[in-house]
Amino acid sequence: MSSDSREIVGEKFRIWLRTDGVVEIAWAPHIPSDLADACLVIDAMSELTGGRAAPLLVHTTDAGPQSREARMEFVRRQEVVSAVALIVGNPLSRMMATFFINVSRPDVPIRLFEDEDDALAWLEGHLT
Amino acid sequence: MSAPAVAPHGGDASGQDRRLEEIVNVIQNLAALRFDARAEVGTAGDFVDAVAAGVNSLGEELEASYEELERRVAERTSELAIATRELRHQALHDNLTGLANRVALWDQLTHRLEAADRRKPKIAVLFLDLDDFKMVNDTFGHAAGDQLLIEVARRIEVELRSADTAARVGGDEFVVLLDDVDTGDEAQAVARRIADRLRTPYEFEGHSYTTTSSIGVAVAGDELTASDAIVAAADAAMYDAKRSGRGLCVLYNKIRHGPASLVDAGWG
Repeated sequence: MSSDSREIVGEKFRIWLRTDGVVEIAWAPHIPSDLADACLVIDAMSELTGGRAAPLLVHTTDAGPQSREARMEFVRRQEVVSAVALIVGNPLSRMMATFFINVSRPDVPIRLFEDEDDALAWLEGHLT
Repeated sequence: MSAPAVAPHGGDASGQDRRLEEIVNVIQNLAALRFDARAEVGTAGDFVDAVAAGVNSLGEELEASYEELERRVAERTSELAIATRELRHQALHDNLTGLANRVALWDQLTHRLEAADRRKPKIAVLFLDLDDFKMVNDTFGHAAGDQLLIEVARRIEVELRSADTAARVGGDEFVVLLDDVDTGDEAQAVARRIADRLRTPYEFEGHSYTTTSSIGVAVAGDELTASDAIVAAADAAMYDAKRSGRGLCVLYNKIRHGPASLVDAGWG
């Protein structure tokens, strides 16, 4: 995993802090992720924001399937985010995102978007 | 549980059928509680991949729910077993002293007589009553009385073997079932040892006091072959000891004490 002050690149993800204060993450295409990956992402996000809760933009369209343990870890450590926008683009990503929202039930504001600009506009309202 | 592998899939009709068939198989496995069943999720991200990933996710949730349910059942079963043991203990023991209670004594006595050779049961019963318990209660208070009873129980147990049973059957009344005893002399020897130990002064909140006990002894055999008859005989001998003085041990004698009757002893 490599990093500078605004971007961290892991084996299965790239996460960076935008100038507008939103954290953005893109998963490696079609690679399954599990609990260890979730922990790495959460640690990376905390490092980028200094532990302050920040809005998160997640590109899920090409992401691979995510294990239950990974989903539960994101919910357990949700104090690192103030809101989450999930960009979906195909049936698989829409199903996985919907499953996360409806089954894992995070407490933070979370929405699905097909358009990135719409997602960023919504996240602006959750900048702390 | 690791996430399932991703495999590429063709989009032709026969390939689609194979993928759907695999998903159906996974559903059937999950229905049979084989929770490790997973469908491959392709890279197309299409509806079939969505269905495969959805079935996998539902399988994971089903497995987690099932494990949680099993954990709760095991937890409740364990709690129930503990509660049952506690209830059983409470049902068969005296709350104050921890000795067996009247029910447990009766069970033990009956069981012992049923298991024994009817011609020679080889058991004896001691009926023990403290001589000055009311005075202790009146003079030092009920807390002191309770402490005395606890200490008496402890001292009685010190003189017994593991196969013997001591029970508290009333306020200051104790019954001891002695196992493997052949003669009245053997039983009386144990009774005297208990009486001697109980005569040692008691200490309570800076006070020292001494109490004695009257003990009736009955050995099973001849006409004393039933539980109620043996206990009644020991009870009759104990009252004879009371009438004769303090701190005595008296062996039951049919001619002297008459036929043993549980009703007369207040146990009927």
